[in-house]
Amino acid sequence: MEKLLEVRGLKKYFALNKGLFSKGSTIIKAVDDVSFDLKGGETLGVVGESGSGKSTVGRSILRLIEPTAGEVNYKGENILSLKGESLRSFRKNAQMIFQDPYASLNPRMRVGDAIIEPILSHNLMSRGDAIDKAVELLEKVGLDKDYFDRFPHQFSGGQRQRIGIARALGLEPEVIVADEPVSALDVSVQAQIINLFKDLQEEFGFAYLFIAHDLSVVKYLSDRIAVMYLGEIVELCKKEELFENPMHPYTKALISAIPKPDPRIKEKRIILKGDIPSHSNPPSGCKFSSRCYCVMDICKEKHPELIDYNGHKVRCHLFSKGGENNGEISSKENC
Amino acid sequence: MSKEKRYEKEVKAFLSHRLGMIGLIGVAILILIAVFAPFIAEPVSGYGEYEEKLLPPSSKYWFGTDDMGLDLFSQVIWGTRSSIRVGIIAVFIAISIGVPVGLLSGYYKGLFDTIGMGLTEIFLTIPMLPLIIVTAAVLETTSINTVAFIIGIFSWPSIARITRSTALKICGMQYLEAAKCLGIKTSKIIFKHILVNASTPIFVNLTIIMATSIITESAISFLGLGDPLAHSWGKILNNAHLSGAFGTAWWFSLFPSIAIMIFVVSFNFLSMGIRDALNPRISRE
Amino acid sequence: MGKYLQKRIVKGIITFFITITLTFLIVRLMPADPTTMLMDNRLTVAQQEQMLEDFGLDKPLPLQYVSFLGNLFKGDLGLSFMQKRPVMDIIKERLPWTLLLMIVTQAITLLIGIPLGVYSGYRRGSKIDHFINGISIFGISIFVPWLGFTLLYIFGYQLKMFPVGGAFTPGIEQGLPYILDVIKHLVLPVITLVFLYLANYVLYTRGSIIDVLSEDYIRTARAKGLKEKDVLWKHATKNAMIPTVTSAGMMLGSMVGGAVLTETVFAYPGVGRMIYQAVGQQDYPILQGAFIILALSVIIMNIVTDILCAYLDPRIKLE
Repeated sequence: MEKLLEVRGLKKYFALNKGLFSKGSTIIKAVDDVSFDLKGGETLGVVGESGSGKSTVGRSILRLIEPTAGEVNYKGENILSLKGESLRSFRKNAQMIFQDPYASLNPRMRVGDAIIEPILSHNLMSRGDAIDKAVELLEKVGLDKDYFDRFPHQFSGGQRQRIGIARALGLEPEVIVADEPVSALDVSVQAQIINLFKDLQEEFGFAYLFIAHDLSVVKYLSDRIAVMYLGEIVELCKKEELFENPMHPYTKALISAIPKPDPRIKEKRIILKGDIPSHSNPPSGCKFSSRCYCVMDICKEKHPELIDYNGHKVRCHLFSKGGENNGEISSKENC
Repeated sequence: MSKEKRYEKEVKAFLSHRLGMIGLIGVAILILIAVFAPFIAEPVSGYGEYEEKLLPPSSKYWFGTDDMGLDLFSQVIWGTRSSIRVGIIAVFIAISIGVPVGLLSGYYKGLFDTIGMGLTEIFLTIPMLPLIIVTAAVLETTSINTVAFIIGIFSWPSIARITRSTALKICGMQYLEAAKCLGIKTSKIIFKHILVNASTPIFVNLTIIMATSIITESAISFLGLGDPLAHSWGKILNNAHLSGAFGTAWWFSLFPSIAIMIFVVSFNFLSMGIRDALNPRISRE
Repeated sequence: MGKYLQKRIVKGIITFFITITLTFLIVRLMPADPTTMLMDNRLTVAQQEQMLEDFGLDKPLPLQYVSFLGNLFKGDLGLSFMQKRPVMDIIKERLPWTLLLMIVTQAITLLIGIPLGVYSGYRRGSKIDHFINGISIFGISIFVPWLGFTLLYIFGYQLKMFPVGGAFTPGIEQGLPYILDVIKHLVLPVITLVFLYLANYVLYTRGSIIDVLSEDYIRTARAKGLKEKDVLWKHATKNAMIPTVTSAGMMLGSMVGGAVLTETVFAYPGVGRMIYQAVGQQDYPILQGAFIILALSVIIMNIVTDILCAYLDPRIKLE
C-alpha cells in the first residue's frame, strides 16, 4: 500500500508564562519529535494516558493547531506549508471524529444542514445532490433518514457520534483521525460505534488514525499501534507483535491493565506508581524513568532513542546497545 | 437533560416571569401606539389658543395643555413614535458597529482584539452624555434622525463586548473546531456558527440599548439640543423647564415623564425576563 | 502592585489621549466651517482675528492638532465666547461642585447599595427581594430631571425643607454655618442621583452574592459553625463587593451624565450646569473644555477605583 501520510519530527511546544515574579517562561513539550507513516486503508492506533500528546498529534496533522516543527506530508505534499484557500481545500482529504459528540455539533443547526454544509462549502455537488447524499449517509451510519430535519439535542451520544461520522464521510476523506471517539459513550454503545468504524472502513477504504487512552479500544480496530508517553512515541509496531511481544515496560503495564475475559487466567497486573509527571518538569533521561519498575541507573541520565528492531520500534534502555535485550538485564519481575 | 426540554423550559420560564411578561406587553403597546399614532391623536404644532394655555387635564385635553396652549396628550402619543424611531435607529447603528468589532476581536483575536477592546473600554470609560452633547451642539442642525445616529454611534461598545465574549466562548467549543476541520468557509463559520449562537445575548443587550437611548434622547432634548420640529418627550420637559411652569402645572412634566418611564421600564423588564429565563440561577431558588 | 499601578496609569493616559483626539476631531471636522462656528458677531474684528490666531485656525489641521495639544498641556483650553475669560478659570470655579456632588453620591450609593444587594441576594425570591428589585428597576428607568423637579416641588417649594437651587446661600461664606448650608443644598441633588444609580449597585451585589453563597468556602464556613450573620456579612460580602466596586468605576462615566441633568434642574453651579448654559449660548470652547476636564476626572477616579479593587482582591496584583 502507498504511504498516505508521512509524519516526520513533529513537535509542538507551548510557552507557559509564569507569574510576575519569575522571569521568562517554561517550555512545555506536548509533542516531541514524533514520526510515523500512515498507509492507505490502514488503521494506526495511538494510545497513551491523558497528557501523552496523542490528541495534539492528531490535531497537528489536521492543522487544527499549528505544530512548532516537523513535516506532515500528504501524498508527498507538505501540508504544514498550506495556507488560506489551499489549506481549506486540503481539508476534505483528512477528517476528524471528535471525542465529545455533545460538543462537536452546533446546537443551532439541523442534522441535515450539518452534513451538507461541508459538502457545499467545498463545492463538491449541487444542493439537491448534497441532500440526497446526506440522506444516504444517514442510512449508512445506521440512522433513520427522517432525522434529517432534527436538532442535535434530540439525539443520544451514540447517535450524535454517528451524525459526526456521517458529516465527515460527506467529504469522502482518505484519512480519518478519530480522537477518542468512543470514550464519552456508554460501554454498551462503544462496541456498536467501533463496529461501525470497521464496517465503514471496509466499504470506503480510508485510513484511520485512531486515538485512545487504553489498548482495549484500539485492539480490535488497529493494524499497527503506537504507544505514547509524555509527548514521545515509546513503542510502535504491528498489533499482533505488540500484544505477543511487548518490549517497553510502559506497554507491558498497559497490556496488563486490559480486563481479561477469562477470570481463570491470573496474570498479575502491573501497577504503575505515581501519576504522569508534569510536562513542565519531566524526569531527566528517560521520561518514563520516574514510574518505571525496571529503572536502571542509565535511565536517569541518558534519554533513550527510538530504535527499530525489524519493524518493531521501541524507546527503552533495556534494549539499547543494538539488538537483543543486552543492556543490563534487570532481575526484577516483568522486565 | 435533553436540550429540547431546556428550550421549552426557557420559553416557559419567560412566560412565567411576571416582570418579563409585563415588559413584553408594555413594548407591544408602545409599538402599537407608535404605529397607530395618526388614528389616536391629531398632531399639534405652532401656537395654540392663548386662553387654552396650561389647562389642567380635562375631558377635552386628557393630559392638559402646555404653555403654548397645545394638547399634551397628542404630544405624548406622537412622542412615542419619535422614541421608537430613535431607539430603532440607535440600535441599528450600534449593531452595525458593535457586532463586527466584537466578532473581529473574538474570532481573530491578536491585534484586532487589542485595538477593538481597547477602544471599547475607552468608550465605556469616558462620560458619554457630555460627548454626545458636544457632538450634537457642533452639528447645529439636529434632526431626530441625526440625534438617533449620534446616540447609536456612542452605544456600540456594550454590543461589541457581549459579541466578543460570546464569540470567544463559541471559539472554544468543539463544534467550531469541527467546522474548521471540515473546511467550512470563514464567512460561513462567522455567520452560521458564531453569530447565530450569539444572537440571544446580543438581543438582550439591544433591549437595554433601546431603553438607554431613549433616556439619552430625552436628556438631549431636555437640554435644548434635540430636533426642534419633532415631538419628543424630552422636548416637552424642556418646554416645562423653560416656561417655569413645573411648579404650577404638574401635568406638564408628569405625563411625558411617565411615558419615558413606561418605555424604559418595559424594555428593561423585557431584557430582565429574557436574561433570567436563560440563566435561572440568578433569579430563582 | 507597582507594576499594576504603572500599567493602569499608562492605560489612563492612552484613554485620555484618545479622548482629546476624539474631541478635537469632532469639533474640527464637523460639516460646519469652523471659522464661522467659532466666530461670534458680538466680537469685534480685532477680537475675531485674535481668536483665529488663538485657535490656530489659519493653519493646516495637523498643525492645529499639535498646537491644540500644546495648549492643553499648558492648561490652556481657550477663551469662552460669552464670558471672554479663559475656559480653564471658569471650569476651576465649577469643577469642585461637580466633584463634591459625585463623590458624595458615589459614597452614599455604595453604602446603601451593597447592604441592600447582599440582603436581597441572601433572601432571594422573598417578598423583600422582589420589592428591592422592583424599586431598583424603577430607579434605572426614571427620568432624572423629572425626579429632580418632583423633589424640588415637594421639598423645596411646598414643604420648604430645602433650598430650591444653587450650592450655597450668598453671604454665608465661612465656618460651620457655611458647611451646613452647603450640605443643605446638596441633599436634594444627591437624593436624585443616588436614586438613579442605586439600582446598578444593588443588582450587581445581588448577583455576585448569589454566586458567592454557592461557593465551597461558604459551605465550609457554615460547616465550621460560624454564625450565619458572620458568614453573610463578613465572608460572603467581602468577596461579593469586588465586582460591585469594579462596576462603580465603570459607572462614573454615566454618573457624569446624570450630574449634568441634575445640576441643570437644581441650578447647581457645577460643570454640568455650565454645559447646559454653554449649549444655549453656543459657547463651543466651554463645551469642549468641560468635556475634556470631565473625562479627565472620570479617568482619574477610575484609576483610584481600580487601585481600591486591587487592594480588595489580592489576585489582581498577580495578573
